[in-house]
Amino acid sequence: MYRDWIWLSILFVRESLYRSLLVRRGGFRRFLGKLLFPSINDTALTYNIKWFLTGLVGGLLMGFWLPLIAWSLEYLGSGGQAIVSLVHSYLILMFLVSIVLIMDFMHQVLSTVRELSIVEPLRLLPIDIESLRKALAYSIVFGGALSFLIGVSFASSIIVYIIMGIPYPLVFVPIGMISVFLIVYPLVFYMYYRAYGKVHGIIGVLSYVLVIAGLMTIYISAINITDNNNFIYCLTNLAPIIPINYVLLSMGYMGLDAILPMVIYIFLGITMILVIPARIGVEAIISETSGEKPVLRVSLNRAKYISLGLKDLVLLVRDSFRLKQFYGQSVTIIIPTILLLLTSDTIEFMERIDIVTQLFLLSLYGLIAYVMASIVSVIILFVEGEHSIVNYILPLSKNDIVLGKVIGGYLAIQPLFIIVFLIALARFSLIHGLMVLYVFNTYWLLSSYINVSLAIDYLYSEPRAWTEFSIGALRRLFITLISILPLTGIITLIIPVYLINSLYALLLMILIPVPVTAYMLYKCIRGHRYA
Amino acid sequence: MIVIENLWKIYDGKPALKGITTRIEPGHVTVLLGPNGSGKTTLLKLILGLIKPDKGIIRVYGMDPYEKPLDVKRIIGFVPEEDLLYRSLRVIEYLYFVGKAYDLPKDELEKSVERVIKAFMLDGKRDELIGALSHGLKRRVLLAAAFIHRPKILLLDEPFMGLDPIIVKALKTFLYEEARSGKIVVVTTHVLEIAEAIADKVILLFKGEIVIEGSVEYVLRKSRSRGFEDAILRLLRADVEVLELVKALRM
Repeated sequence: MYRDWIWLSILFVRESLYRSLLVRRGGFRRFLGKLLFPSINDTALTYNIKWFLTGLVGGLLMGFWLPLIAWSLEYLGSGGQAIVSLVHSYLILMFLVSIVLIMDFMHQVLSTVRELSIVEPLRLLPIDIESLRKALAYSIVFGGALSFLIGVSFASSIIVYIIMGIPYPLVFVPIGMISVFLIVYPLVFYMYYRAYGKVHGIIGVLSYVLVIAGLMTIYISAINITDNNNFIYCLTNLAPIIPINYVLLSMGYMGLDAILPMVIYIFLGITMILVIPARIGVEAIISETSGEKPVLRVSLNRAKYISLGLKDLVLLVRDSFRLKQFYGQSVTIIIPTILLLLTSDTIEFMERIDIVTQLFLLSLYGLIAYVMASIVSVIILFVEGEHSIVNYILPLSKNDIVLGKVIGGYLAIQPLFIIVFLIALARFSLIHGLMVLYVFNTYWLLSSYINVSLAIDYLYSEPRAWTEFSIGALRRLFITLISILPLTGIITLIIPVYLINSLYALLLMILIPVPVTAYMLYKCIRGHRYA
Repeated sequence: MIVIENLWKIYDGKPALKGITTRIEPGHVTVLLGPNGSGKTTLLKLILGLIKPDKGIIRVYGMDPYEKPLDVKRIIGFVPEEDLLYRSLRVIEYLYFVGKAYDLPKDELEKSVERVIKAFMLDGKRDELIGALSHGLKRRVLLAAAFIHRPKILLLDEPFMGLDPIIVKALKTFLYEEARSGKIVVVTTHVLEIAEAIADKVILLFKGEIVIEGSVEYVLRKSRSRGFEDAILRLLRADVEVLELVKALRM
C-alpha cells in the first residue's frame, strides 16, 4: 500500500499556499509579514503554528467582553449564579461556533483544492486511490483547521479560567474542542458522501443552513427561556450530550454522566476520523462537475456593474461549498436577530414606547447587518480561485472588481433580508418592516464596500490565485477589526444623540449609510447610460 | 506600435528578460519563438501591464502599460497559455461578462457575441458550462473572448494548442487578415511549421535575450540553413543538444 498520504496532504496545502501567495522579498516589513502571515516558504508545521496563533488571538478577541461583563455583574452585586450561567452560555456558544467553523474550514479547503485543480495531475500518476482519498481528507487537518480550533479553545479556556479561577477549563475545553472536531468532521464527510449525486447542490445548501439555524435557535431559546438556576439544571440533565458534557466538565462538574461520555466520544472520534475519511469517496466531493444543471440562469448583458455583480452571484450560487460558507456564517449571526423579533417580550416592550423610539431601535439592526457583512462579504472574493487572472487580463480596475463583488454579495444576501422584513412586517407593521429592510440593506452595502475594498488590497498587486490562503486568517481578522472601527464611531455618536433626541438619532441612523448607497446606485445607473 | 527598449524583468534574483530592445509594428504577424523559459510569456505579460518591468521602457501606442493598464488592456485581445476560464459559467455568460468588461454597449455586445460564437464554431456549446468543455473547446472560448471587442493588438500565447486542423487553418488565415488590416498581431508558439507559415517577423528569444529578429527568409539566410526548424535549432545551438537528448531517451 502507498503509505505517503501524509506527505501528499502536506503537498496539497503547500501547493495551495504557493499558488495563492506572491514570493516575498527582503525588508523588515516582509520579515514581519512572513512571521505572522502565511508564506510560500512555510512548512506544514510553521503554517499550523501560525493557524494556532491566529485561533488564539481570534478567540481572545471574540471573548474579551466576557470578563468585562462578569466583573460588571459582580460590581453590580448580581454575581454568583448569573456569572456561572453566563460562562456556561459562552462555552456552549463557543462549541457551537466551533462546529460551524469546522464545516466552514472544510468548505474552504475543499473549495480551494478544487478551484486550483490540485488533484487532477496526481490522478494521472500511479498513486493508489486510497492514498489520494486519505491525503485529501486529512489536508483539512494539515490545512490548519485543527490547529486553529485548538488555538480558539485555549483562548476560551484562558478566558473562563480568568473569570472562574478554576483549572478545569484549561484541560476540558481543548479536549472538548478536539473531540468535537474528531466527530463532526468525519460525520460531515459521511453526509456529503451519502448525498453526493442524490441531492442537488442547492438542496444541500438549504439543508446545511437549516441545520445551523436549528442549532442556533435551540441555543438562543435555551438561554432566553430559562432562568439561571433552571438553565444549569437543564444542562446537567443533558450531560451525556456532546458538547454539553465538555461544558459541564470545564465548569467543574465531575459526574459520571459527563466523564463516561467523554471517554466514549474520544474513542468514537478517533475511530471515525481514522476510518471514515479514508474510506469514502472524497474525490466525488471535489470533482469538477457533478452533472448538475447550472443553477440560476441570468443574462449578463446588462449595465456594466450589474453584469459584473451577476457574474459573481452566479459563481457563488454554482459553488455549493462557498454558498454554504456564505449562508452558514450569515445565518449564525442573523438567527438571534430573528428570534428577538419573535419573542412576546419584544412585542410588549415595543407597545410601551413611541413610534420614533420603536423605529430607532429597529434601525439598530443596521449594526448587525454591518457586522454580518464584515465577516461574510469577503467570501465572494474567493469564488475567483485561480481564475482571478481573468480580472487582470480584462480592463477592470480594482474599484470595478470591488463594485462587482459588493453587488454580487448584496444580491446573494437578499433572501435573508426579505425573511427578516417579512417577520417584522408580520409582527409589527409595514413601516417597521421597511425600516428593518432599509437598514439591513444599506448597512450591509456600507460594510461590504469597506471590507471588500480592504481585502482586495492584499490580493490585487500581481496575478495569483485568490483563496483564503492569499489573505490568511490573521490578516482577515485584522480586516474585520479595522472595518469594525467605523461601527464603534457610529455607536459612540448615536448613543449621546439618542439621549438628547430619539428622532435625531433615528435620522442619523438612516443617513449614515446614504453616501455609499447613493454611490452604488449612481454607479449602477451610470452603467445603464453607457451600456 | 509597441516599442521596447532595454527591458529587464527579474524574478527572485533570476533575470527572465535581459535588456531586450525591439519594435513590434502594426500590419505584420510577429511570432515570438524560443525554448521554455526563454521569456516569451514574460514579455507578453509586460506588454499587457500584468507585471512591472525592473528596468527599461515599454510603450504600447505611446502608453506605459504598467502606468495605464486599463487603457492598454482596452486595445488588446489576450489569449493566455493556460485555460483560465470560470468553469462554472456558461459559454454565453462568460462572453457577455468579457464584453461588459470592455464596456461594449448592449446591442453591440449582442452582435459581437454572435459573431465570435459563429467564428469559433461554438454555437452548439453556448449554454454549456465551461468546466464541461474539452481542452480544445476551452481554447476556442478563450479565442472568442479575445476577439470580442475587435482589439487593435492581439497577443496570443500558444493559441494553436489543442485546436483541431480546421480551426488552426481558419485562425492562421484570420490572423494574417487582421495583421494586413493594420493591427498588431503577436503570437507565441512552439510549433515551428506554424511559425514559418504565419510569421512576417520572427523574434527568437533565448535565456531572456533576443538571438535574432527579422523575416523567416532573413533567419534562414543568417543561419545558413535550408529549413526553418534547422535554422532555429542552429541559432539556439541546440542541434547538438537534440542528438544528446535522443541518446538519453534511447537509454
